[in-house]
Amino acid sequence: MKRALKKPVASDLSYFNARVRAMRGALLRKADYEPLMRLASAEALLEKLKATEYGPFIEAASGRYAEPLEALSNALVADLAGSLGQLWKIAPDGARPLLKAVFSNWEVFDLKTLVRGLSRGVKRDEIKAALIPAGEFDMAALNTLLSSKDLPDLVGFLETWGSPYSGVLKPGLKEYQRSARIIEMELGADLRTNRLLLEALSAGPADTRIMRDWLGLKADLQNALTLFKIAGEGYAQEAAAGFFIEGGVKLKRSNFVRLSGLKGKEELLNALKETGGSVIRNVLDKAGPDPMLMEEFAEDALKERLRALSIIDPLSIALPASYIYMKVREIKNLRLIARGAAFGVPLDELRRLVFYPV
Amino acid sequence: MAVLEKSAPTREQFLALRRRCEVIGKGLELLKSKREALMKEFFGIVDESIRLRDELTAMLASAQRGLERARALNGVAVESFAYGAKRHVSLNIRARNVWGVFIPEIEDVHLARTLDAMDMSPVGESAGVIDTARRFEAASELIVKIASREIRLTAIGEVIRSDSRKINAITEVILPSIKNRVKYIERVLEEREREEIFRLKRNKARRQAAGS
Repeated sequence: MKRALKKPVASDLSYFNARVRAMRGALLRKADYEPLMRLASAEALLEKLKATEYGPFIEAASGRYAEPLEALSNALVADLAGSLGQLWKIAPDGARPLLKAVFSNWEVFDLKTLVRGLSRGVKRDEIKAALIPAGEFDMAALNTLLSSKDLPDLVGFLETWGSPYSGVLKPGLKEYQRSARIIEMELGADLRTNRLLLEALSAGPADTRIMRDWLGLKADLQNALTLFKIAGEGYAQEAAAGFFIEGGVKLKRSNFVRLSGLKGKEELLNALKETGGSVIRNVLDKAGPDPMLMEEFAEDALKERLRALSIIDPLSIALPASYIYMKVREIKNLRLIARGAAFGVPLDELRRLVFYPV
Repeated sequence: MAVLEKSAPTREQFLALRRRCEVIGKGLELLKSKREALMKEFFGIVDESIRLRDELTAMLASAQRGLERARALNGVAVESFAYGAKRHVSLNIRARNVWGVFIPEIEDVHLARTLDAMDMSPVGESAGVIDTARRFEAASELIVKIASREIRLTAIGEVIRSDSRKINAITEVILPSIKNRVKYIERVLEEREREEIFRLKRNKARRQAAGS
């Protein structure tokens, strides 16, 4: 039986959004970053952050990890998991299917990490360290999934819970059992989850449209980034079509397949700027040929779209959704600043990589 | 050596020692040729090894920079990717014979994989993480190359050192001592010959004196 995601229902988001606004108020401002970037070491940053909302997580991580960078990374992951958990907890039931469009990023990430770890015989503790509890996979659920002895067992757990992710992974499981390859399961997690989200957001209250349109933009940007990753990898056009994420507005399947035939990244960059629409063009113009920067600008474009919508309609789902992206960006910035301080990255280079979320 | 010192100074001993001296001389020449051949092999590998080490240092520095950047931007996604990229690599080791010395050689392996061979979906993955993984795979390839050369260097170096010790022992201790012994026996034999001639002459003189 095919399992679907829950459909969103109209709910009053005013109280939820008020609380999210309070959470957003605790985020670091642009002016807060400059003194942090000037700190001489990761230890100094750690000390500075103890006075912020990261304090309890840093205290807990410092007791477990002697290395400041490791302590900070773990504290930041714990803080992110805490924020995501809090958001999921306070979200009205009807709004959760909408937020799922964003939370599915971590759910899919956790599933892929579990699939990778279990298939390659990685120790359970190591897998656990890389998981981020979010959405339907809270720590208790992840612990249960971690207790699976192999991948069929993992899918079995999901099936027992009635999770739609069992249907997402199941088709790829046959390929894994036949050839020990996990790519089909991973692609299933990426592409079928997107399909489920599109189905769930096909109709519903006004906020549904916001998330559906945003999902379209996300699909366009992800497809553009995928084209850069597979360029020159020797994929036939039919194989490349297997990486296409549906739901995009500007980059249709036929165009994606045509562009996947281009071997040079410069050629692809120019072709995408011509045919990919204004958002993709903007991202590519700002990032230049660096694929890592492209990803960061793409993520920023997704956040900006939600932020703009949250200004137009402050009571919409765009506000909590944009908050998640702001929080993620803040954590990335802090990790960058810490590593920059530890490895002596010049201030100009740091400023180039830090995006101000608020 | 003690045996040499104690051996009786006889003609038979003298001839045996001279023969031994000749054999040791030939062996010494052979050892020197072997050492020369191994030295040639050694210095050939040293140059290449130094070049590869420099290449590896540069490669690792750039890969490490990429890793730190990927860790900063992608956090635990780097670990997740690393779990997926985990694999066992088999290395073929064969022995090559250089002047009777078996030198192990690790066959070069191709470790840098395409996206498809990595067996992971490129869709949700960061390009920076994929690029970093590939750089480390290329560095591992170079590490195997360097290991092969350095194992050979160690093995050849050991043999050269032990041959040099043998050559030194032969030229500084064994040969001089045998030559000294040969000279000593030669002197003793000459002395005996002179005594014999003197004795014969004295007997002849006595016989002549008794006859007259």
